[in-house]
Amino acid sequence: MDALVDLLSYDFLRNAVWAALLASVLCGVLGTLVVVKRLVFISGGLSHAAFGGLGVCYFLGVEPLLGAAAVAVVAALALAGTGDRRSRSEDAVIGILWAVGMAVGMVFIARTPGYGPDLASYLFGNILTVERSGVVWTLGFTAVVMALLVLFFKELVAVGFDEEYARVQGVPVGAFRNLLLVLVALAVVLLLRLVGILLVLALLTIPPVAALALSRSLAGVMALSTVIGAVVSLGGIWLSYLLDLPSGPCIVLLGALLLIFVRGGRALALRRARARRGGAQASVPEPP
Amino acid sequence: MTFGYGPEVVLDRVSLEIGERDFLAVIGPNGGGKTTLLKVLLGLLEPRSGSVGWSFDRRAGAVGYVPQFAGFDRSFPISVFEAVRTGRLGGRGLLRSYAREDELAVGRWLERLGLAALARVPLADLSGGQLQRTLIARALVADPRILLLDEPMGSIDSESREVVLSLLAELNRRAPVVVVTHDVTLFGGLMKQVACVNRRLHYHPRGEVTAEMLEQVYGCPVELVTHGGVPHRVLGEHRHPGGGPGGGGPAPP
Repeated sequence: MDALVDLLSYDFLRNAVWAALLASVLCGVLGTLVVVKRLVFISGGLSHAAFGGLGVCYFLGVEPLLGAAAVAVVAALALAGTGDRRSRSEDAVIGILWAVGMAVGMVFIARTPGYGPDLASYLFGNILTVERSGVVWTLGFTAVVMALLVLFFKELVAVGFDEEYARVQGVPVGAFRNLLLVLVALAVVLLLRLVGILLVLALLTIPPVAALALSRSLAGVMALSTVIGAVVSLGGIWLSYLLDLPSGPCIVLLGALLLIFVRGGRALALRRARARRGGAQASVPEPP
Repeated sequence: MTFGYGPEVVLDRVSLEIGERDFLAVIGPNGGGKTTLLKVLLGLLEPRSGSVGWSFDRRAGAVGYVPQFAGFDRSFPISVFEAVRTGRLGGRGLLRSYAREDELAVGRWLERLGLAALARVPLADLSGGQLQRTLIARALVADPRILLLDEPMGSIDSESREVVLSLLAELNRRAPVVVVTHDVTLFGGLMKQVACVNRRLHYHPRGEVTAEMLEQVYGCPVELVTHGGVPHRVLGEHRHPGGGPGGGGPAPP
């Protein structure tokens, strides 16, 4: 415990802890929606497209996050504009966006004169090099996301549960979808610098998928995802310190372990419950 | 109104008027466009030509809809109570939250559909019949001005079926009901009009069910059996547009 207190007296570690907690909240909330609405691939595409904008801005000497944010938002809206979710083309467009974004980013960074930015840190992130300004920006954005969540929670439930019925009832389903994609894109860009693309995708998916096995309400899944995200990311940082390994992969792998544990445990519990029920030859009684 | 996906025309110059106390059964072969017709009516699909008009304010949460439950994604983390409550969302401002009266309405309909004991149960744990009743409760909870149902009886047990039929009859006293079904005998007593949909729409204003209509639905000759107490509905031929006159009125049973 003393060691932990000692560690936290380092500025960079304090920033890392803040970054991890904020990332957990953002990813817990947005990731839950991304997972239940099956937007994981889109989110991946957006985050890599954003990397293209980032590279261009490096080359031009403009704040890279601005470029990344602009590209992410434009790409999110363009994808939303293609409309029909079932269309084959949207799926392919995301893949193209993914690859072209990366390529553009790398070409421009390669042509940037002088000492180029560390590419690996954008892909895999280094939560230990987070700056204070990054934390403050992310804190503000998290507040905006939470406010939107509280204001529109019942619509989000309705749209997430049954988009078609929400549309029949006059809920602007398309607007909510666009809003979600834009928020995810912005979150990805902000967290990109904090934790890297890989870790953003991991935190967007692993905690919600684990939480979905444990909780039966949307709010419950969001809360639980946040907690799982925080445990996993702080635990991962701790592990990386203990084992002298890079922090990002430690967080991802710890999350994967937890997921296996949760899903496996639930599958076992279900099987045991079924076996018990089967033995008693009883089924769930249907109320009159 | 015409609707199609890409080059394929699914509904060809279809015209339909639904009156205030109508109980319209939409029948037809699989892939004939029954569900598509419903979705166009609901505004979920945009017709290629023509339009859908309403005599009341469509945005006021006035339309109840029971989707086909096969293919319904029930993995979403939501309880029966919450799912039914989403039916009260229509016609309210975005920022207005659910009120006590919404909760009461949900409780009432759960009770009537025999779901009260399942209110807190997650949707994923329901049987097929229970899920179907949940979807029906969601459609009824807003006291709709019109109700559209897509194969609502698929896996409902016979006891609940009677309950649902009586609820539909009750609603039909103040609002039109449109039901897509492959089994016309289910709604025998309630049906007032029949629409045969197979790319084209044939409208039967008196709700008679003919052997020809049934053959079209089932793809083989069928014998029409009605239950006691249900008015018999027999015969009457299609009036094909441009064809000869139809077979006149309904024959006596």
